[in-house]
Amino acid sequence: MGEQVTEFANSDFPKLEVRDQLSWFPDAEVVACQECGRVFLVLPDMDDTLCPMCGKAPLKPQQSLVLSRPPELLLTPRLNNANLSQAFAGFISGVPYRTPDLTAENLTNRSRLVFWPMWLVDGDVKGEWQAMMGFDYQVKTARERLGSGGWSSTPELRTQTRFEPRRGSIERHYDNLAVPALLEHATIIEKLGSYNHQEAVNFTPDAINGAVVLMPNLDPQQLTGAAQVKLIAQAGAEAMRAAGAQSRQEFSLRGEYKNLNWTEYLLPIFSSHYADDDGREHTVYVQAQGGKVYGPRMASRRKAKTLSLILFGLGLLSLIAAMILMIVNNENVNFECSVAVLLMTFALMLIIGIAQLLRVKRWNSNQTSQFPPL
Amino acid sequence: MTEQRFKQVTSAVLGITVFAPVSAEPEAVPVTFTCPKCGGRLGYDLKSSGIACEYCGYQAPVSTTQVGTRAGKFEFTLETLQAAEAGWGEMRNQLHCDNCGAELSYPKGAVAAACPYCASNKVNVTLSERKELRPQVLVPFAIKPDGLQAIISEWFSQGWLHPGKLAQSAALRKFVPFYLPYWTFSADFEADWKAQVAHVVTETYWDPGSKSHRTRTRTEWRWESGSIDDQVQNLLVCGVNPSRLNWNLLKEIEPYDLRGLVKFQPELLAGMNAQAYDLPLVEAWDKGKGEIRDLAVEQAISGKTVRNLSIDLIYDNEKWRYIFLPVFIAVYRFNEKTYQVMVNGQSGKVSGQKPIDWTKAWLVILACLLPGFLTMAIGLITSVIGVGFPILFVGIVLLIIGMVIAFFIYKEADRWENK
Repeated sequence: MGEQVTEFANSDFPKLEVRDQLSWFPDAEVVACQECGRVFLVLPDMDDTLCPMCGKAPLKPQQSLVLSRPPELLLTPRLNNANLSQAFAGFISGVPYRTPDLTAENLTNRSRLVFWPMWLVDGDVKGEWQAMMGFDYQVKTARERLGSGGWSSTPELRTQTRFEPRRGSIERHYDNLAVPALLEHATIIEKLGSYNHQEAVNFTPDAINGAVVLMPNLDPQQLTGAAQVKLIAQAGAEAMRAAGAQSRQEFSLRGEYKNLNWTEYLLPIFSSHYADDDGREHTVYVQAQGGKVYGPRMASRRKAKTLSLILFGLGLLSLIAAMILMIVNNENVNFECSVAVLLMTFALMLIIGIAQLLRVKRWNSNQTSQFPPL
Repeated sequence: MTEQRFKQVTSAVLGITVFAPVSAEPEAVPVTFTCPKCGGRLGYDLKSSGIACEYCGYQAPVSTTQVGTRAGKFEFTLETLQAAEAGWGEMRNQLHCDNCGAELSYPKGAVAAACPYCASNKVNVTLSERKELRPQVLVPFAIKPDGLQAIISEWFSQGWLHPGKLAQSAALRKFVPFYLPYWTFSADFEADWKAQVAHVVTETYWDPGSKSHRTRTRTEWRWESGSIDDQVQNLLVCGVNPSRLNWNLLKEIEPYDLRGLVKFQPELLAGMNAQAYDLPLVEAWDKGKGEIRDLAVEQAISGKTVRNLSIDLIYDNEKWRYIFLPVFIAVYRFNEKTYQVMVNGQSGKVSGQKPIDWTKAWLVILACLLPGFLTMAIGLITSVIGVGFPILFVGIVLLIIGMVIAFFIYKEADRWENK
């Protein structure tokens, strides 16, 4: 085995450039979020709407770097409006003193389809590999029992794996290996779950259908390492298949990686938003394939305050009643009991009222810290 | 450290080649042993622990590598079990003699034999297509022919019930060295047991008869349970069917010290008698498991008196290996009856059947009974004059003692003949 050579000769790196018009999204306008800086392609009537990703600022037309080359593949959303509404209904259930704006209907009506990008890499791998390949095999064992009728034996099969060294050469071409195109790629996948890439279809401009398209913020030139990792993983999986193994360990590949061809791959999410009591917007995301929802579910402090005030009022009334009773007659035993009950009611109302305020404060604090915007 | 050699194997993907390690063991081929000097028969010589020509005296040492209990073990994989179950196919009975070119037909499972045409010794190590079912390790003979004679002479001269001329019998020269196939088994086992255990309880009670407190013991049965976590290592089960070879004798010549295992060399079997197993692996393992079950029961009971014992036993890490162990076997006839004697080829421990001089045995038995009878007869006679009863009583006691001794002598004589 020679020295490790990593080459990306003849590779075609796509360029992000400033463009006004794009052939693959004819009427698109290039806009950017003033808060998070993300660049989107939107239909002209959609500018000045809230950023579908951070939800903190409106989208404004801006000259930005965009990908002039059309995407190669796209995943179409599997969720329809009914599914979406159902997903949101599940999402908002269990929120104490729910913010009035936080309803499944509002979220469904305000949801926008957003396509976010990944890179697809095609490339040639040529080199030498070696690994410990795992071969499954079955061993026969037995479970035996001594009872009143003597010994009885029940045969059992156990699957075990034997690892053996294998090596060889590889000269293969791989297509459409997905590599992150966003810095926040891992976060999106972690929060919303992974996609079934088997369902990807060829990109056509119609497939976007007025959706928002998020532009990559990672340059392929910086991603050759990630592409190499993908190519090695793919080569490892194929070497395992070639060896007839079922698992592998310590796979290593020494060779060259050539003719990398980069294209874009679009993945769908639905983005929606609602406002809390203070008018602050919160973004809710739905993975458009699996339906997993992510976002903060804010409780209404106003509702909690109202309830607390009612409780405080009831408590106050109890206190006043107790004081009146004490003034009117402070010797009758029955009256003393009533005073005690009223004082306890006052204390109870006070505690419950304060607890509701604290509960909502704590809930909202947890929601904003646990579910920050993507 | 030497680098492992690889060879190309089949790949399931175009554009990817796959190389797998080459076994360090050479490919198994039948080996023919003929003398390089005179072309005569070469065979393993127990005396020199090398190969020797019985015609011209040519000798060559046999290099062996001691592997002991580190010798490779195998798991009970489905493939191996199926191969071990298949037995030795008809095709494998045909062997080509490299020396004279004859096509030979051997008995099923023959590992070593001689060509009937040119007398060259052949060792057939290709009986099984699976490596693990070919002989890979064996314990070589440590007992030299001279030593064997001394051991046998001593063994034959032991005991006074045997025919006097047995020690000079031709059986002394009939011992044939055999490599017998054995399976060794190792396994971890875990067992959960539950049983009613007897506890002897001493209690005090009021005895109305004696109007006092007295003590008595009674057995109280209490449910108890426990678990066993143990292992067996190198459990030996003979690979020859018990219908063909006396397993009682084989058990009696154990143990073998498996630290003496050496890597198999065809030279070690040249001119020897060696037969592949005919008790398949699964059946042998069933017998091995029987010993493990007994061990589990023994550990569960562990000196206690129990009833309603139940045990759940599971095995793990079960391994086996296929080895050859050295035995000298003699089958001889005496007074039209066949007897078998075996000697452990490693330790020299002897076990076997020995003829009994039944005339001598019956005379001894009679001699045991005679004092009792005579004394009783005297007792009967003297009873007429009124003094015989004590003598009669002594006679009965002597007869009983004599009968007990006679019984044990008979049992011992029978055991020697019918082990």
